[in-house]
Amino acid sequence: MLNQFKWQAQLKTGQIINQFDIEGKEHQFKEVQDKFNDLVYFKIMNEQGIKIGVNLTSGEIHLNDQVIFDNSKKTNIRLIYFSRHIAELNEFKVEKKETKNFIGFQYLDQDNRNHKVLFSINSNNQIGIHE
Amino acid sequence: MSASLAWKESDLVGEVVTTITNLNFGPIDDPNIVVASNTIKAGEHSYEKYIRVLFTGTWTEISNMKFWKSAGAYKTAETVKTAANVNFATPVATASAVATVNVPTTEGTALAINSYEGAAVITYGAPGVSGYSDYICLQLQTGITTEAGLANVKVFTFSWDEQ
Repeated sequence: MLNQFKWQAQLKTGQIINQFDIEGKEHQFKEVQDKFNDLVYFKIMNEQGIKIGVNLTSGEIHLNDQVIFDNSKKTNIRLIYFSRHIAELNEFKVEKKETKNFIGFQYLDQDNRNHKVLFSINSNNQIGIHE
Repeated sequence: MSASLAWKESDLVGEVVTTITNLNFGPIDDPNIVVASNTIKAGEHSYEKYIRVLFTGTWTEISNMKFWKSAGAYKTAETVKTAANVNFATPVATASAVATVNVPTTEGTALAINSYEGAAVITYGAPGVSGYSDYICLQLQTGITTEAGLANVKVFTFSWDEQ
């Protein structure tokens, strides 16, 4: 069983959209995409209590509520979130092997240059950084 | 939760689609070939395989689809030829005119795979979206110097990004 991450989005209005609401209904990420301009915080979390969150106002990235990336003077912060899946096919079987979640943002620095900060976390909770 | 993936192979004149559980190459135009009873003679080729992926379930966007051979050494004069994003044609066992390049062996050189509709992204629920990737054509080719016996197991990897 893969260690699955679920997302939660917080909007300017205070509204929170959970991937799975209290009735167990799944919300598609498209709901977040449609409200990108209102998004202030986005995080993914798993049942083991691992959380990675992106503050799209301050430009901080948090791991279990601790700041792991903070670079001031950021503007135009845009969320990046996706999961990368790998499936293998050989002469014996078809297998979905690995899922890795990516979360981070793009931003513009003081000189208006675009940067990307991206963290990944796999089903073993191994974290990587991709700049 | 997320999209589920099934491998589909199309065969015969009628483009008969089968969910496959393996990718055995052989001298017959069938899916899920039993290798022991369907060997390829040295110097001959397998029938072309036309495979694609079908995504089911729910997602927002699927993108960055890639395909490459991630493991499995070749024997002498053995190779797997490929082509991505091709139309189905009745598979042949002569040297493929479709699959003409060596299958990439690293993620960095992987084939970029489109949707069946020819887009780089599969958007869930969009009009006309089938959930299929485009076809990948593969053919195992041998030479007269290829050693007898079972070929080494080859692993093909398909990766995709999903929101």
